[in-house]
Amino acid sequence: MAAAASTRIFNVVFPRTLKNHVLLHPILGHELGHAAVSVPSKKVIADRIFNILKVGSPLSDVDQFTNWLRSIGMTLPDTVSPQIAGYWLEEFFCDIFGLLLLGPAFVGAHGTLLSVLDPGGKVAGQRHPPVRTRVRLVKIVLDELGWRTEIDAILNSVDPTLPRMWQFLDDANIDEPWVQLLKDDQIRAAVKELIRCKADFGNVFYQPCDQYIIKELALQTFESIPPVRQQDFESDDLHLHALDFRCILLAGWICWGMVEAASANNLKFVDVNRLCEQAILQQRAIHLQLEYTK
Amino acid sequence: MSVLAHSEIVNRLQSRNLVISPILQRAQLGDISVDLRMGATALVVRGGGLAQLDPREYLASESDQGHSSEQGKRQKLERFDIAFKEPLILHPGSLVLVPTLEWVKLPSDLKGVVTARSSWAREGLSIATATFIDPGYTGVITLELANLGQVPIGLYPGMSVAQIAFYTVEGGVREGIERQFQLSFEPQAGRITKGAEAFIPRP
Repeated sequence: MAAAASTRIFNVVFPRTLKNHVLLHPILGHELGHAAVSVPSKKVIADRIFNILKVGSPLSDVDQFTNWLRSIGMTLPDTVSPQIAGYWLEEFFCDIFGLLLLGPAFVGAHGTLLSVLDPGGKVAGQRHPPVRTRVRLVKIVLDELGWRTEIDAILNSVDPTLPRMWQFLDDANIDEPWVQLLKDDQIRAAVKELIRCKADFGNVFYQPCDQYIIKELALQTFESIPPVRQQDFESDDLHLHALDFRCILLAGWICWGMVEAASANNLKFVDVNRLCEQAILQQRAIHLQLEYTK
Repeated sequence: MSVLAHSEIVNRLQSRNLVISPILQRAQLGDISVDLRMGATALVVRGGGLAQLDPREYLASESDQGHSSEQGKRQKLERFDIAFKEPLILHPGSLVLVPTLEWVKLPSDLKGVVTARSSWAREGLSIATATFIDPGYTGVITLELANLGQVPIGLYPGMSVAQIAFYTVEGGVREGIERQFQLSFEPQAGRITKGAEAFIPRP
């Protein structure tokens, strides 16, 4: 990744085979969270989030954390490094950051990739908390932001019989101690605090797109057309529409939800990805044209 | 068979019967054609290491699947992603395959005919393109660009390099017919041995 001035910020290793799978690329929002934590001025904010998340949870104390790990049947070394809780808190922070930064499309990428890494979702690592605890956190953040309700409304307006998007979110939220590591209120408070600091991150957090536009883009993708907004050719002014790439990715995920539920659509996951990739390229061209004619 | 005029092209675009997306300027819509822009990928044809283009290699690769199926025909094509505002330099005598920026979706009663824009042809840029775009085609269109001039040509993604005209198809097309490049996302090597299998010796 590089800044506008071509200054290298950090390297992210991503499988080349997923180069065209743009619907999975929002996971990079999580990695950008790690980059943010490494900047001293942003670390101060991250520390505030860490504190909100750990107060009253097993993560607040090494002994408590060790007992919690044992209670869920974890095989542990003789001593649990106090750093583990810190690593886990950073992971939780980065998940919230990635979701706020890249919007609902982050949820699809996060759930898809993590479920591949650990289908059961119970494996706890030195650096990473169990997948289910992370997916549950994402669910609560998504609900807190009201984005899932919007997605439900879009799907419902397309076809009321369509199943809910990202069922894995609900599946992850089981009432077991190893999943309920963080309290709902803590997560909600952390989200609110991070949103309060959005100016410190350059106000780049995701802004929801108009539901009608997302629906149109999703339907268009379903018809094998890249999701850029279509123009009014009968108008004298051939109006070009600016569109955030994060809205394109969300439309792609909603389209994929529709494809999975449909029996008469031959689109594959890679096709939807490549349609969105093409749309992002086209949207870049539209942006350049808009800049030029401004 | 008749060519679509401007008003009918606009009507079809408006009703989404025909898709050419995006149209960045109204000037792209000509009297009987629509200008097409260059996309941001290039397959540069490299001659090095090849004694000849051997149809037998293509024949072998088409009966195979996976990576090995690509070896025979792809090893001479070098793929580049080109950023906007960065040039692709096309040297005299060289050939490059580029996609259009536009996504094209044709209805079953139209075929497309792609040709070079004359202004580019006068500079030595030849578009020996796939010419006919079948009814029902969906995807970007591959343009085969060759520099027939004596000086290198710089090409930028987004430049209008070709144009497509539309002709009505009478009698309808066969349903379920295999389309060679349907849902095409980027340039691909062609199937030069199609229909000629009986005349090419097995390698």
